Formats: sequence, structure tokens, C-alpha cells
Amino acid sequence: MEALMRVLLVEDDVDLAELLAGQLGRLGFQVRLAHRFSDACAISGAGLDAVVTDGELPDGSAVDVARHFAALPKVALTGNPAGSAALLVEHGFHAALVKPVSAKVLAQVVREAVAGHSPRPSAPATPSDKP
Amino acid sequence: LSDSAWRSQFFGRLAHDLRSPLNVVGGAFDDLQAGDVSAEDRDHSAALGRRSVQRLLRLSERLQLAARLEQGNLAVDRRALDVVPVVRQAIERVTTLEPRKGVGAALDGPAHLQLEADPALLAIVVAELVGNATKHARAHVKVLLTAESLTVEDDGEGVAPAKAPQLFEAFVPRERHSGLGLGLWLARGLAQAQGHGLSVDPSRSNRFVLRWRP
Repeated sequence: MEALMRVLLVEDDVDLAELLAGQLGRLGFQVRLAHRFSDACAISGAGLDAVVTDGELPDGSAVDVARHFAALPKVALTGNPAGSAALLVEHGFHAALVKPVSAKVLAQVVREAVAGHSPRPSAPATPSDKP
Repeated sequence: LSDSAWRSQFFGRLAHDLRSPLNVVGGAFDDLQAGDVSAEDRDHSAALGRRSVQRLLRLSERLQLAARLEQGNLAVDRRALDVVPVVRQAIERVTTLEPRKGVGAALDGPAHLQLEADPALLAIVVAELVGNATKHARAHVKVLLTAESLTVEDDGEGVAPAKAPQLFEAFVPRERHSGLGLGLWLARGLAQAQGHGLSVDPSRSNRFVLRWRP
């Protein structure tokens, strides 16, 4: 059984946020939701393992979220296939997934992001050569 | 903006706006097929998927109306009717399809109000105004219906006075990524098509007034 993962999901589409929160919850994640950048800023990063954010929010963007949660591993969900993914990786995102994204894939990528961000001391020191 | 820059921006936003509801529908199917999801959770996911289909349908309706408005071939069925049920249902539909946590819309006004309008177009105008207000409100959207007008007001920040005239321009979203920028342009066009007038209060950019006689 994998450890409980605490994730903040910032997504302005309330239905998508709720659906993914439910699905990630069933995959062993504890999910907090925010629908706007300003709502996300009200949540402390101290109790989180990772942040998942929509690329574009009504009052900000994934880059704003990245700056605010600079210390945490981050995964972006974007509705724009062209260009934005590479740009987001430059801004410190572990990965930028293009919607539609299944919860299983998202869960896997978030776990990789967390593992790559703060490798467990007991883990063998292998170079991270993820796809 | 040049014509082609404008067009690519609009199509980009449209493509973007389709992907989230499609993601919900796809995710709901995943849950319906999964063997390890409880019946209750499957029902919940199916309800979210259904709502996203309704939202995609509403988007399609708005685009069709926008196209007709642009071409100048909007069919208008103006007649005497009680507008209260039309207004009430429009508010209910948009707050169900585009809810925002912690934001509620309240209707204040008479139990019946007889006037001339196209019920289908009026419903769209009200939905656009209430949808817009809900998106920008802090907590409350107030809808006031009188014999002269329908006022929709939110308790959000509004826009700077200099920007207020731009609110009714097509394809200019109020915030960076708050949709297609279609709503208020569409609302004004559909209001005018049925002989009504829509304007923003010059002193409060978060108060929109739909006058039955412009």
C-alpha cells in the first residue's frame, strides 16, 4: 500500500475538480480543492505533498501557482496542447498533461513528481531518467 | 488585434473550453466501467458527466445564437407573457450548470409580471447576466425584477470605469482566462433583438440593467 499523498488541486472547472478529487481519493490521495488562484493562495503549502493545477485560471495561471508553491512538486493540467507543456516544465513543473487526463495517469505522474522531488534517503541513488 | 490574431485567439479559447467538460465525460465513463468503484460513486460521477454534457450543449446554443446574431438572421418570437417563470428558470439553469462554491443568486420581485418578450431569448439574456455575475461575485448575486427593468448585480470588484464600455464588446473576456468573452455581447444583442435595452450602471460596473423599454 502506497503512502497517503496530500495534494492541492487547482482547477476552475468545478465538475472536473470534483470528479478528479473523487477518483484521486479512491487511489489513496487526500485532495484539497481550489477553483481560483486566490483560493489556492489561501491554502498553506505546509500540509501538502504536491500541487496539481490547471494551466489557466480565471485570476491567474499555472505559472502564478508555480511561483506561489515554489517549494512543492507540481503537475500542470492544460487545455492547450500546443507549446504550453514545454513552457510549464521550464517553470518548475514536473510535467504538463494535456486534457483529457485520466485520474490513473495523473496519480502516477504526481507520485513520480513527489518521488523525483524529494527522494527517500533509503532509496538507492539512481539517476532519474523518467520518460 | 488583427483579424487573424483575433480569430486564432478565439478558436484557441474555444478549444480550451471544450476540453474540461470532455475530460469530465471521459472520466465519468472510466468510473462507470471500473469494477472497484461503489454504486454511489458511479452515480455521482455519472451525474457530473451528465452536467458537463449539459454545459457543452449550452456552449453550442450560445455559439449558434452568436452566429445568427452576427449574420443578422435571428428569429424573434416576441409576445405578451408572464416573464417571472422564464427569469426564475433561467437563473436556476445557469446556477445549476455553472455553480460557484459559496456564491448564491437571489431573485426579488413580483410573483407575476406581464410584458412583451421572446421567452427563449429572454432566458438566454438572464442566464448570461447571472452567469457573468456568478463568475465575478464574492458571495451574492442579486436579481431585481420590476415593471421597468431587471437588474443583475454582484458583490465582486467590477471593472475600472475606463474599461466598462468594453464590457459589451465581443470576445473580450473580463479576466485573463474567464471564457470566450461572449456573454455580455450576446446578452445585449439578444436584448435589443426583442426590443429591450441592456446597459451597465455607469457608477457601478457590476450592476447590469435590462430595461423593458430602452
